[in-house]
Parts: sequence; structure tokens; C-alpha cells
Amino acid sequence: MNIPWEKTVFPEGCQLDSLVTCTICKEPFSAPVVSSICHHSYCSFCIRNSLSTKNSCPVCNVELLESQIVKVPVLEEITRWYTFNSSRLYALVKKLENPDPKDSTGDNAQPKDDEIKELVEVKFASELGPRKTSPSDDSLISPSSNSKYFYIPRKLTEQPDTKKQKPKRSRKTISGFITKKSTTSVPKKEIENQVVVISDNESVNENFSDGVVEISDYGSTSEYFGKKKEYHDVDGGGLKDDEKDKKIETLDEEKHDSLIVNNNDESNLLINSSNKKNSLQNFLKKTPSVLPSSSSVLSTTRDNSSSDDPGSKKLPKLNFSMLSVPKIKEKFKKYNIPTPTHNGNSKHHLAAYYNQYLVLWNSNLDSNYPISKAQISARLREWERIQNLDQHNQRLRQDFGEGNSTNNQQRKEYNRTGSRNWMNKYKDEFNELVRRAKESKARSKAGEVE
Amino acid sequence: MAALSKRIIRETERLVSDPVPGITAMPHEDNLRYFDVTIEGADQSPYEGGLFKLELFLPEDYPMVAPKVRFLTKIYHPNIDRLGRICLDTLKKNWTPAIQIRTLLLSIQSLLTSPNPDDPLANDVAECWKKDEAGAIQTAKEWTAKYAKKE
Repeated sequence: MNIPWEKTVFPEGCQLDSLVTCTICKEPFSAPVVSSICHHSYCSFCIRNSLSTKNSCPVCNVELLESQIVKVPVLEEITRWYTFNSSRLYALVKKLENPDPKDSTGDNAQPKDDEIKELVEVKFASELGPRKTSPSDDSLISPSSNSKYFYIPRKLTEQPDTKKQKPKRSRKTISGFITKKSTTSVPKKEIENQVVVISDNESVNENFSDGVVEISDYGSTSEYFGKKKEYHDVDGGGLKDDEKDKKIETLDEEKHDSLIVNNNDESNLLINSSNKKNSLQNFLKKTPSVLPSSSSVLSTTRDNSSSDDPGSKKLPKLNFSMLSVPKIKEKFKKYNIPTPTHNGNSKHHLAAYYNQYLVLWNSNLDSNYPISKAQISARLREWERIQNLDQHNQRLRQDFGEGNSTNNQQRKEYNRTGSRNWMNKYKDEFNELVRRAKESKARSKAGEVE
Repeated sequence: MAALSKRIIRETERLVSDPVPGITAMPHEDNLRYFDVTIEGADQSPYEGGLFKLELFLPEDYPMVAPKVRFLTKIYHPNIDRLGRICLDTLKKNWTPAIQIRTLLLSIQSLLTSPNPDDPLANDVAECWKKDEAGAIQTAKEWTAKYAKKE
């Protein structure tokens, strides 16, 4: 992130900066994972890429297999939080260093430590507190810890009476940043003991759009958000109709008998625990002031957000020595992998291509904010393009016989003048090399004779 | 890979803004993966007072594969051959993506202070080094004075 904390009154900031930075790409973690052997953390993509060349931890060199890495959702949340807020934090610290005369209350002296703390806290509260209003602003929430599902009837404009039926629940409460359960309309006892669903609209309104909200079982995530369970409002608005239908699942009657799912065309969305990624995204999407850039990512993730999508499983490694090219292509079809555009028929290329797709795909599954398949394909094409360039360069390098040299100038020269001229130019040097080689050979022979 | 070339930019920035003492690395303007590197010979070593030029190239797969580094200045060292190629474990089998350009150049600098004639690349030099270390060090000093003079 490159925030120059060390030049401020708060140099400790750079520790956090480096804690959320991947040692491989030097970027803030994206989909961080941790090695279960040595507990070093990396971006999922980086470490999978690295492990595909060598099965060891890049930092400590201990043997490490891809199966031994585990995702760390809370680290991803921390990283995102820091990414989105670090520059503001920095500005704040800067402001504390040089207080603006008009801001200060009389004296321009450095604020005391607790004053700083207070100021920071106030600033945070204002950041995390009020948000832009959204259609779901007046949502009512009924948590149910047994079922893990929350049922949120969302107020629509054409249904103003819902508002009166139940007390409002403010946006920030739903978002979980401020998680006073007392604001919810349902008594706490009820929350704990039974599946509670407020289905206030069931009889009132057929056009009601409502959502079911899940208690995140990212225990760690909830810790971050305030040591309480959080509720995710799930918005089905962006989904295609058929995908919506998939989401509307009939729940086990015994467990969720009181849970009512409306099947009107505005769609109810039931997100179960296997789909928690998406609910988390949706949750975050509604907090644009905190996580501004998430929306672009999230908007594209909606199309692959179906929980029963068979493609949301990790891809296996393939043993390419056992597979023929047509077999490989069959596998590509089976896993729905976009067909390669370059060098399509070389087995070597297909294997590398598959492995790259595997890395992209599997690392995407480790993310709380997965990208769409189209984006994966775009990255794959970009990789292919670079590979092609690289192969081209390698061929050139081999041609002029200096595998070790990477002198671009030489390569250019070679291209321009052709191999003959190039050979003439470096003939003397080459002859000198040959002469030396012969000499040393003779010397070593002489050594043997002695 | 776009994500990884960000790392290169970041590393370059740091190399230029906060250089390692005794080491400079400047990327070429037309190719940011190609660096001109200079390393000063460490004090108390045969290469003291010398300024060695190197070239460093970051392959497309960097940081998954090691950079290619080569001495351009002639140097008398058992682990560096007359083409300037360097025998260093971190450049070959011990490369990991956690190593940066800066750390790599530091290990090359330390290779200059601690030559390892038991794992030689330049056999003739290594033999001299083992048979007559004082003489070899003398030669290294001479070569340093002759080829690696500071401007």
C-alpha cells in the first residue's frame, strides 16, 4: 500500500502495512491462505502458483503441499479494511501532526495521546456509522440462531404499512458494525431459543420482496465486526430469474417450519451456509462508503453466485502423462474451461494452460469476493498471451546460442541483422572461447598424465 | 501478469529511493525488466575498492523463477566464470519467490566476501584458490584494480 507511516508520529502503522502484504506479490493479500505447516501467509493465487513449480514454503523452505494451505477469511477482511481506510487513517495522523489552526481549540500544541485516540475513534464512528440509504434501509430483522437463517422482510415503497407493524431496524445495525441486539424487534429470548421468523408480510402483501439473512459462521469475521453475530441482508435483485429460482430452496420442514419463503417474482433469496461467500459480498456491497471498490467486483460476481453451481468446486490436478490430447480436451469441456487460443494442440501447452486455470480457479474459491468466470477467462487469456511472447523470446535466445544472456540489445541486434552477421561479429569471441576450452582440456589431460 | 509486474514496480521504486549501501540498480528505460547493477567490493575483501557492473533480467515468470544475473566486469572469483555467470544456490535451486532483487544482490555481494572454491564454476580459479589462497587473493586484487576501477 506504500503508506509512509514511518515518517509520521505513528510509525507503528508500517507494521500493519507489512502484516497484510503478501511476500510474493508485495501487494495486500487477496484471498489470503495460511500454510498449516509453517503458518506463513500468502495470497492464494501466489502460493498456488509457487507450489506448482516447487512444493515448499517460499519463506522458510519447509515442504508444503497445496492441500496443506487453508484460507483465512478474517485476514482478508482485515486486509480489505486496511486497504480501504489506510489513506484516510494516514490523512488523519497527518492532521494530528500539523493541526489546522482553525480546527484547533485554541492552542496548536500536539494533542495528547488520549485526545488522539478519541479523535480517531470519533472519526471511525463517523465512517462506520451512517450510510447511504438503500431500499432495504427499513428492513426488519428476526434472527434465529438455531436455523442460521434470518428472514428479513424488506420494505418496499408500495408497502408502507410494514414499517408501522415492526420497529425499524437501521441499516447500520444490519450491517453488523454496530450490533446492538436490543434494537431488534424480537425479544432476545426468542432469538436464542427458537427459530423465529417474522413473516409479517405473509398475509399482508404478495408483492413483498424479502430476503433471508444468514448469521455468518465466520466466527472470526464477526469478531472483527464487533464480537457479535452479524446479519447479512441478501439482495436478489441482480440475479437472473432462473438463478433466483435455484436459490429459493424449500427448507426442511422440521427445522424451519416457521420459516416462510415467498415465491413471488421479486424473489426471495434464501442463502444457506454453503453460499455464505455471496451473502458476505452482498452484505459488503451495501456498505459502499467503507468498501468503495468492492462494488465493481461484486457486481460481476453475481452471475456465478449460485450455490448449487457444480462449478464451484476445486479443480483436481491432472496427470498429463496419462492423458492424450483429445482426452485433455474432453476434460476441458467437462470442467467448462475456455478453449486455448494459441498453440491449441501442443500437450505441453495444454498442461500449462490447465494448471494456470487451476491456480486461478482454486485461488478464486479461497476469496470472500470471488471474481466472475469471465474475469478468470480474461486473466487466463492474458497469461496465454504472455506465455506466447515468452516462448517466442526463448526461441530467439536459443537461436543465438546464449541461453544465459538476456541482453535485450543483443536480441534486437540479432533480429535486425540476421544470424549470419551476428555470427561474423562475435566470431572472434567464439573462437577465443573454443581456444580456451581446448587449452583447458589439454591442461587437464596433462594433469592426468602427471 | 499484471499483478506481478506491480511487484517489480514496487521493488524498483524501493531500490532507487532507498538503495542498499554499496549496491545500485537502475532499470533500463525501454525495458523495466532489465537492470544495470553495480556492486562495490566489500571492505576487507580482495575486491575492496572495486566497482563491479552486472546485468540483471527479470523473466516473465518472475518472481516464480529467479532473475538472471551476470557480471559484466571481469572478476577473479571461483564461483563466477569468465562469462560472468554466477554460481549461487539462491539463483538456482534455492530460489523462492520470497527473495527480492535487493536480497539477491546482497547475497551476491556477500558471495564476493566469502568465495566458495569447493563448489566452483570457474575451475581454474577454484584450483588456484585451493592450492595457493594468498596468490589467488593477490590475483583477485590485481584484477579488481585492473578491470573494476571506480570512475
